[in-house]
Amino acid sequence: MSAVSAGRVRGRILSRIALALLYVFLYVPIIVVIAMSFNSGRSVLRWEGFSLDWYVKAFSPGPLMSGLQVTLIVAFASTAIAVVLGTMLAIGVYRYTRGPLARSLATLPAFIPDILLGIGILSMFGVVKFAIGMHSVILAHASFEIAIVAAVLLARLGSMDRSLEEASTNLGASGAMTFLRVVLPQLAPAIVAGAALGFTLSLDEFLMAFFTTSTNSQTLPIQIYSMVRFGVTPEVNALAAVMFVVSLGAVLLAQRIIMPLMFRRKP
Amino acid sequence: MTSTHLLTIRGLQAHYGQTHALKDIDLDIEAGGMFAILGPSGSGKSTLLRVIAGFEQATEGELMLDGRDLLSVPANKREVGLMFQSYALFPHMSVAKNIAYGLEAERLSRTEVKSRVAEAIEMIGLEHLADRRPAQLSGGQRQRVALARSIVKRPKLLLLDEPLSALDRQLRVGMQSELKRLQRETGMTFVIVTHDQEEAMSLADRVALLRDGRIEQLGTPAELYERPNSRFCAEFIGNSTIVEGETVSEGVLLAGFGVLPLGVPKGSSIGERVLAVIRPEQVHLGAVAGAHGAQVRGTFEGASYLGGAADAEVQVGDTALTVRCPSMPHFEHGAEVGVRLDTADIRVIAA
Repeated sequence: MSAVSAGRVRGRILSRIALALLYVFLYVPIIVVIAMSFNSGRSVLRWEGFSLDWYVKAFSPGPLMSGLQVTLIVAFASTAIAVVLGTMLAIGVYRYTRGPLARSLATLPAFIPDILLGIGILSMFGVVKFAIGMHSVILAHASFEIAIVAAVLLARLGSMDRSLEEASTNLGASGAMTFLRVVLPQLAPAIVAGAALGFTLSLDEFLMAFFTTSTNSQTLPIQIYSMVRFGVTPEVNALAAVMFVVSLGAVLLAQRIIMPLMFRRKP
Repeated sequence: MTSTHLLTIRGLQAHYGQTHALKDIDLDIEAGGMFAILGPSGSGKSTLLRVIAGFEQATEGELMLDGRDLLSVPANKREVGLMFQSYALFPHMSVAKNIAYGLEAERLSRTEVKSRVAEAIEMIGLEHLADRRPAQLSGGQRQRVALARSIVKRPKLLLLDEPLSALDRQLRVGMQSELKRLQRETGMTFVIVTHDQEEAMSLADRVALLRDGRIEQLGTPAELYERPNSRFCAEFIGNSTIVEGETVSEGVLLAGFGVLPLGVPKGSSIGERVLAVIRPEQVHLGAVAGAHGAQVRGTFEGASYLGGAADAEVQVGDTALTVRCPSMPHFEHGAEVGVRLDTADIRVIAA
């Protein structure tokens, strides 16, 4: 109609194009990986026809599968440790400390550069003469996952109505009953969220695993790294595509299950 | 164990961080009825509530419930119920589960829990909502659930933290009578802790007014309103105009009012500084010849309609006097008006 509204329309179209380009930027690499995983040829640049061969190859016994096995064991074990210790840490910090220092120290390892943590943990293991292997990767991953679980839980604890615990006490409940029936259910969605976050970070963590593992228990990212040093191979594409679908599924699951849980549990 | 008092407090002291929150509280609360602990924020009323409930430690003194020392009893074994200001309903449990929680903590049999929960839900009239979560209830319904959850445990004493403050005006009236009904039906002792004098006055049989960690005045709502002992009490409870004066042989000389035949504080001698507490309903507009009490003249400043009544503001000397009128007065701003004072009712306190 007027010059003003024409300008506004143009502005809106430009914004939409910018938004679309951002999505392209985000997802083109992933789409290329998924598309090329169905390529029948060995080339990663030239399309030669559709095939599922690389999926079969990727999931046949070999370094990728042994790496996947190690990675899954590490991720599950470290997450289990982190959930228990991270929850205890968060509750301890919340209940027994004042001021920001203890809180910062509890959550900092989640943000410290991995290379620092990796070297630090490796040299610490060296000092105490601790043999390295899968168990040391588990401990290394647990160390930053504890911080992640604690960070998520501290945020939840901060928004939790403190009077719920007092109400439970006032109604005659013991400390254990209050924890199991009031505190834990309030924290459950945050524990699940923290565990999911820690688990997915453990899955593709490279640096710390690289520093703290032995040659016979290498995680998937390390195996992939040693394979692609001489060029990307299509079975890596296939495995990456599967991992993408799995993590997409996890995100959707989290949105459908965890978010409503958190929403409903808001007081 | 000397009296029929349910709760006896002697020389209670509490420190909250650096502040001396309770300074030597002595209080007796009789069994049955509604008692209010009233005070502005920072007066120590919340600390007192938390000490009685067991969430704060007293540093000194005695706290006895039904002859049993409470200070050495942990918070979960005190037989003192507490309805939180936020209600503190467990958001992940249904109404019925919330109410059952305290009975399950007592390890009662499943059948007894069930029947007592059903009874409590019926008492608050929420049978149709037993399976709802707190988030699905209205504010008034949540409060009734919070009440039922405390009452179902049959505590000797039920503390209510600001029970009406979270409700809007319409609901307050309903909840007020509901609280009175529940108190009557259960025969429990309700102790209301509030900063809202209207809430305390309308609910309680007796009120303890707290100020700076001490009890400023203790009495029935009418006693506190009609016979305040201090300026603080007079100002905190109800509306009043406070006028400075001096005792003279014929009564009290009030600045701008002249000498009025008012009763003076006991034991006061002539020439002492005093304060007259003039309630809006103790003064009337319009001079009437031969009327009781004293009359003064003032300037009409305006009026605000209250619905069924109106408060006029009249300047008498340096004092802006609030005068309750049966209907909206129609005077010009600045008009000179006569004001009658019910000198027999006006309270005079030491300055």
